[in-house]
Amino acid sequence: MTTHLDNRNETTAPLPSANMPSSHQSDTVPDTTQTQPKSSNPFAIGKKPGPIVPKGTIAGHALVLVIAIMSFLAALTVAAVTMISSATRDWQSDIGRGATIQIRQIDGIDIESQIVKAIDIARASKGIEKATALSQSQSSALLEPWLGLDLAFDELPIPRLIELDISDPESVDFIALSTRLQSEVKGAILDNHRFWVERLRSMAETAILIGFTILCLVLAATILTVIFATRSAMAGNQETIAVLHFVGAGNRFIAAEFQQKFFILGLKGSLAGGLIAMLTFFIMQLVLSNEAASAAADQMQALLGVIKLDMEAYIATFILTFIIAILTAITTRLTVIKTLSKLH
Amino acid sequence: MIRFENVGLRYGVGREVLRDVSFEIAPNSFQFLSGPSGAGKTSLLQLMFLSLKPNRGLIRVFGKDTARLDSEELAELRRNIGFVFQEFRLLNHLTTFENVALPLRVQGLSEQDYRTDVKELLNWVGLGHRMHVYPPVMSGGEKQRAAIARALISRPKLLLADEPTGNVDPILARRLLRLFIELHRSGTSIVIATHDTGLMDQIQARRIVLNDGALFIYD
Repeated sequence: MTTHLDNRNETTAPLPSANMPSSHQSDTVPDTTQTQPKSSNPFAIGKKPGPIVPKGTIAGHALVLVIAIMSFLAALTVAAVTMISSATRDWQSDIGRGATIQIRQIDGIDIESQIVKAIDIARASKGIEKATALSQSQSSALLEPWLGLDLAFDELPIPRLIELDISDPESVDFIALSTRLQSEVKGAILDNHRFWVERLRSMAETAILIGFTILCLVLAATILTVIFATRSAMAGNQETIAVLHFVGAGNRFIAAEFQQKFFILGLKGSLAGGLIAMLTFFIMQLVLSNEAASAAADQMQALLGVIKLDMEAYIATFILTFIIAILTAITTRLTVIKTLSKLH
Repeated sequence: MIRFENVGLRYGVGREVLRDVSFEIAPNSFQFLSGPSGAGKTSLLQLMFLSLKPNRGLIRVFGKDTARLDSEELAELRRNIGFVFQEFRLLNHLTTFENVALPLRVQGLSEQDYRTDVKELLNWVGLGHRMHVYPPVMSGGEKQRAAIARALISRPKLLLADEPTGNVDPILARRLLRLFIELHRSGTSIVIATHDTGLMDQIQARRIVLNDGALFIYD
């Protein structure tokens, strides 16, 4: 039997619409609805719809672990960089506020009078707060660790030192002071420690540069890992992506679905790594403060000043965890959009 | 609505599976697309659905030249076209309700906005009692109806169906056909690809026949 398309007598139900009573639903389809009780499962009522990208299709645990390790390493690097930069600041400030005038013993010249002259010149200079001469015994004491106690220092022509306390390093004209000392005081040499400051600064800058390089490498490795994980997740969700395209999803919608998943994974990993790093800092500080008298602690203290992780290191680590999570999400988004755009 | 002008399609370097295909799908029209297996029916549907690009010729969908559209514009156009796949293509990790609601979710609507519509449509296709089950436990007929519901939920202007009755018994096939007729009466253009002559004989409708890559129309 052939039916004409415009035959309105055919018994079919009208398409459902918002104002159509449900009792009008009819026989276009098997009668199962008529006999089945209405679903008691309040399925959609208040329940969040299931995720479009299923959980099991992303290597979530492995990715969280890798991001946690990377975040931990990044946090350690950031802590080391902040510690070195704060130690460098301390060195520079300490060294910058001191200078020494060395007066060599010259035969036939009274060194004491030269010392007095040098002190007067130093005190008259702008920016120098105090000039104190070290006594003969104090100068000898400085050499004791290297020469031992057995030596009679009185017989040696040990140079005498004048310690200068600088109130304002910027206003001191070291060149003028040095020229004046050399012309007026026999055997005087001004040492403003600038040579040491420069060396320390360059050493610290190198250490900070290495730290940032490591940080960049860690972040690059994290990005590459996320790219691989995203591609693998996309490969595992080919059918879902195809169906999403068929139902009218644009690349941006699909990217947002993956991005959301990876942001959460990234945040979990980076928070775990960051928290473990902070715990490590805390334990390290605790151990170092308990072993303050130990040789190792002393050596570290000699090099880095007081071993202390400022609040800065904790804040930097906290910010870093969010940066890594956001970086993960952005990487995923760009990877998905780039991969999908190649399909068209 | 859809206009093909001298469209040619080939896969790789092989011979053209569609040659110089020209036709038009008018608004509120009903047609069968038929031809033997391998004649290019699915390829033609995919071209209409913008999931394939032709090697030559012009395709205009809703007045727009598809060659000039970017991916977001293509997605926007696809929202006006419903597609029923022969193999259903439901997502196994989503319930029937969620599968059917997917086109609306993609449009950014919240579950609260579409809940009533989806439930009504599921009742209409007879899946009201199966809305919270997952596809793996559904029968072929149920999956087919869910796939149809998903294609209809966003009220498309055009519905393309690829062998929609291929996996169901003749009784259900007839019921599904009546469902498509009802949809056509409500203003949707319908293209049903099938090689089931028994199904086509049930109603008088335009037939687009593909044979060896060439197209013939019987109005």
